[in-house]
Amino acid sequence: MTIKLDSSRLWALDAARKRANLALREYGGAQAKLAERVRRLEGELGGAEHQLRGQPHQDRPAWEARVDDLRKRLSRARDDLAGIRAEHAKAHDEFQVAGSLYQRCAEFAKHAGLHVPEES
Amino acid sequence: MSAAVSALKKLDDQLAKITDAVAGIRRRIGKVETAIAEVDRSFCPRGMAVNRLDAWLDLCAARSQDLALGDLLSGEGQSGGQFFNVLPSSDLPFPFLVTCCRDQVRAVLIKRIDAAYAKRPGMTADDRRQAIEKLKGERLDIEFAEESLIRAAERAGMTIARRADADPRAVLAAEDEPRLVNAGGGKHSDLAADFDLLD
Repeated sequence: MTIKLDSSRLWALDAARKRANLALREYGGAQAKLAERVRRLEGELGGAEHQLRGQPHQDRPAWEARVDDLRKRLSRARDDLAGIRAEHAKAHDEFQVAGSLYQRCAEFAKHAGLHVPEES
Repeated sequence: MSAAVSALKKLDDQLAKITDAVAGIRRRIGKVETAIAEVDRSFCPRGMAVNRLDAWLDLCAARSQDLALGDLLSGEGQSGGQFFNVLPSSDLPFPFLVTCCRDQVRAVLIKRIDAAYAKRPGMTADDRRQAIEKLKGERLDIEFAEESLIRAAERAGMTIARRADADPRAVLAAEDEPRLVNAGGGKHSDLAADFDLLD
């Protein structure tokens, strides 16, 4: 049975591949920024905890409040980072799938004697 | 504002429904894949297995002639009184067993063959090939239904990722390819209409 094929469908696959690549880069960038933020907060928290240990009794509440605030911010940043890492992994899988499908379909189109559009 | 929220909510609902529909189609593809693998692993017809068994028993019986008796018969002067090195080699007892009691050995193995066929039927090579072709045709039909749904979703502005192992014949099918238009025996069209996805 003959199936009517249209090699221009490859453009849609190419677009999907590029969208996936873009998403992968965006999540990668966001992950790097969040990882940096976590590192910075860890440093600030370590410094604040060190300072707290050396404070006289009357100054401790203010430093305790700062340490508490930093701990909460660090916890939120770590949660955000875990979320972005999951999204980044998902985007990576989607990029792999889109790339693999494009390659298979382009090969199939070539073997079927169809005109395969140039990669942009 | 509430109209926009309502429209967005409707789009979300439609996307959820169409995602479920595609997931259902993919489960069907998985089942067909499993069926193809099972047919591919199916046994040969029982008669062929029995013929193979008989041929193998013949071979075993013939091999029982390989053991030279000369050393067994030699005097102490020749073997130094050591007879263990002229015992049959480890692969020979079975041929001797077959020679001595072929019918019993055959009956035991036939029983095992029948037990295996009771769990899984046998197929001729032609039957297997035809069954696999039929299942592959069924899978392609389902893939056309999947592709049709994905394209309808795309026309409505929704994105559903295709599978990496999607059949290129479905993915590259022209918009007016009849198998795509009538995918799933027309069921797909009804499905797309349910989701307001048709142009």
